[in-house]
Amino acid sequence: MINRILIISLFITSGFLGLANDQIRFSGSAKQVAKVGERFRIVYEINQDADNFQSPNFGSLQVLSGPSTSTNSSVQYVNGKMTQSYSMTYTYIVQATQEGEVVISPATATVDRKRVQSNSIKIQIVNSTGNQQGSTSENTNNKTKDPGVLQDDDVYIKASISNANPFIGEQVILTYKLYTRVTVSNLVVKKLSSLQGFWSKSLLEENKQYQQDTEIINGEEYVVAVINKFAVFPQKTGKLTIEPTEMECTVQLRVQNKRKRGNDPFEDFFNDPFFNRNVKNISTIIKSNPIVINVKSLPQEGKPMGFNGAVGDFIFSSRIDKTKLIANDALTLTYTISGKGNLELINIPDVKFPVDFESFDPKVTSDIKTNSTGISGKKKFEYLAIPRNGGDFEIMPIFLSYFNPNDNKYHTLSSEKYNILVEKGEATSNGISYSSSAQEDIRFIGQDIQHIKLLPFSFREHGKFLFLSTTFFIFLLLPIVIMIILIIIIRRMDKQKSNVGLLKNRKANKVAKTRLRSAEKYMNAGDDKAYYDEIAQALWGYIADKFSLKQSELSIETVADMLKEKGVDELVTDSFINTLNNIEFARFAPGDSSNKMASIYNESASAIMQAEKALK
Amino acid sequence: MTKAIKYTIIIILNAITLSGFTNNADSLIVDANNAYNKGLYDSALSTYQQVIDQGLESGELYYNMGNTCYKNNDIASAILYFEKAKKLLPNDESINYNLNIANSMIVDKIEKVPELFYQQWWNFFYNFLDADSWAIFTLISFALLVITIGIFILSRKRGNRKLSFYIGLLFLIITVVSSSLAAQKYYFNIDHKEGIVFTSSITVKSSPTQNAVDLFVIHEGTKVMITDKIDNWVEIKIKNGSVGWLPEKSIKEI
Repeated sequence: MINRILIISLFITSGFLGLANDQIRFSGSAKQVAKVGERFRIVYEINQDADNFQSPNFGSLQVLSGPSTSTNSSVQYVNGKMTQSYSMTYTYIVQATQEGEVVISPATATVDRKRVQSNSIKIQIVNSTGNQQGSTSENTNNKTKDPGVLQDDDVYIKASISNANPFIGEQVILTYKLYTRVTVSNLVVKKLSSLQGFWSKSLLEENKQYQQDTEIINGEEYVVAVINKFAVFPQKTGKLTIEPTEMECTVQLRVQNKRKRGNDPFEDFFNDPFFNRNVKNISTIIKSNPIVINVKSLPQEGKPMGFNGAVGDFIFSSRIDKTKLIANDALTLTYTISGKGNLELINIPDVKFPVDFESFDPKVTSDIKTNSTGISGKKKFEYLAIPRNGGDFEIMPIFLSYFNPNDNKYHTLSSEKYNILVEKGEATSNGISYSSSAQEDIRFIGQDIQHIKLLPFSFREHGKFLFLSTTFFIFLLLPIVIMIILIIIIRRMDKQKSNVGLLKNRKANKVAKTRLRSAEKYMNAGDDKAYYDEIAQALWGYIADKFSLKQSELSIETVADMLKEKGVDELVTDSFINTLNNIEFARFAPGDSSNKMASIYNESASAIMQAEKALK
Repeated sequence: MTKAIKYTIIIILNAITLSGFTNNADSLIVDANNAYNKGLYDSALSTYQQVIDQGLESGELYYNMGNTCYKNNDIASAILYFEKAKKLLPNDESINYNLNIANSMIVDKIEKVPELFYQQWWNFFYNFLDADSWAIFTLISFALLVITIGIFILSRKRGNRKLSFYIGLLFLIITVVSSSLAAQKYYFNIDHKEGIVFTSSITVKSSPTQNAVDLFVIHEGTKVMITDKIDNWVEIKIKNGSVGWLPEKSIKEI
């Protein structure tokens, strides 16, 4: 009996001893890198039965649950040899709260009344948005991976660009790669990146099978496939963000039966993937990382005139089909831009055809190749022009300026200059006559405001107007005043003048009589010339004095008019005029003078007397 | 003829009152014109403004400022200055041409209500000369009227008196018409009866309150007649005859 007990006890103790003889392994493990806010597990595993497990100090990590304990033991008989394994795990689920490095102090446990220590664990906590590498480096410990749950790093999309610092308009290749280490099917794009601020062109042919590749990342083998590739051309400067692309896919996962999890040694056996054909399809949405591109503006220095945003590396050429033609024949002028860059956005400046040319909008054909290195190709501008009149014409070269980001310089390419000889066409050649001699309206080519005015300007003080101003009233009153003064002066002069006339009028008879007397003297003396002068003077002078007339105004007619006007009797007037005529006649008619002189004297005296009577 | 007289009078007045200013102003304008020719529109505009700040104005100056604003793509200001220039030089071809071009670039196209024949005639004379010229014209015709009255008074002969009476009557009519044109121009100038909309788009209200009924929308650069003012609101009338109220700050007076 005692023997039996001994044997049994020996067996048991030897078994235990066998276990105890194994080295104690007590290790803690966790992922090396975690994002802020991420939940992950920290697992302590010990290969002996331990108790009195003491939690380590988790530092800034927040313990969400745990420790949850589980034990595993297995006994294997292989070829009669028995191997036993035993493990006990303490699992914590923790959440990272702060960025930085966390060092978790060793946990302790008691095995066989001995304190054992685990290793300490270092975890790098990174900012969840900042580090794009995080997704690739967080899979350091996939031993803790729960096979039934999809891990973040099982499948993800990585977006990358060829140049994060391009110039505006420079071609940048944007690539989306799918990384996966699980089976993925039904990849459907849910949301494409909105490429706001970019002009983009897909570089992959549609419905093409993804090319698969394998890549090792942090020791894990991933299947990598390029799912999308774009050539993008930033259209504005500054920080541009490419929003993440979202894709939906179905992931196939093998699932273990958790229900039976326990100390059953057979559990592991049946949970072996070999037996476990339980496949779970999980539909999941995967997102790419956002990309920030800092777009530089093109340098201002050396920017040529007429630069319109071409960025890349180009060749510019031109070709004309004929340089000698007949009016109304068409000619074709082709400009070709070829090279690499934002070809589709390039326009050439308008070709300035001579005004006598009828030209049409160019036919633009582009032959653009997309391959994985970007966009390249040719863009052709085909102009059709018809000269309407004969003559020598020139088509001036046009210039294409572009910025080459490779050497950070602007380049300007010029097309050729063409001299075109147009011969006069025959007007009747095709029934339509474009006669070159016909007049044409002036064709306006552009419209602009007229040029500024040059000096002198008619300046004036702001807000001061002549109307109702003092100056205005002065100038208004001035003519009135002047006029009044003038009227007064003229009136006064008139008055004086009429006074003189009145005096003369009164004295007229007297003066005439004096003249007659002196004439009598000449008559007696026989001086007939002086006599006639004096007597004519007496009569004319009388009329002049009477009517305030000047000597120059005197004539037979005026005398007749004046007398008539004054209402003098016609007989008196006639005798007066007869007398005047007789005097003039006698003056120049020589002959019997003494008789005539006497009769004229009497005639004159009576005429003056009669007139004096009538005019009183 | 009257233009020649006007210029000689203006030049004489300038010589008396403004000779000190204008020397300085002329050099400023030469600078500004050079800046304009070089395409430095901002500095040209500020230099022209310096002349305005001296209290001087001229149709040519406003015209150049309008051109500068036009080249700067500030169409509303360009129209404002062209309109100001037109007030001072109503018959200048360049001003009218450029104003038409500027007006063709604004949003609103308002059909003008057709004028009656007498309005057309009146406006023809009204726009024939500016305020000062009409004042000068009034003075001249008034002086001639006074002279014919004088001749009428002084002449003895019946024929002369008759002729001077009719000529005097003619000058009286001319004086009355030209003085009323001068008065209209004068009050038009000092009262600021027109404005240009300076807000890119604004709703015209039925009464001078914010919650009044919206009548219609006008846009930047449109010319409006200002018919009334209450507080911060102005009653406006546009060319097609529509009337409404706008906040005062949305327009600038010509």
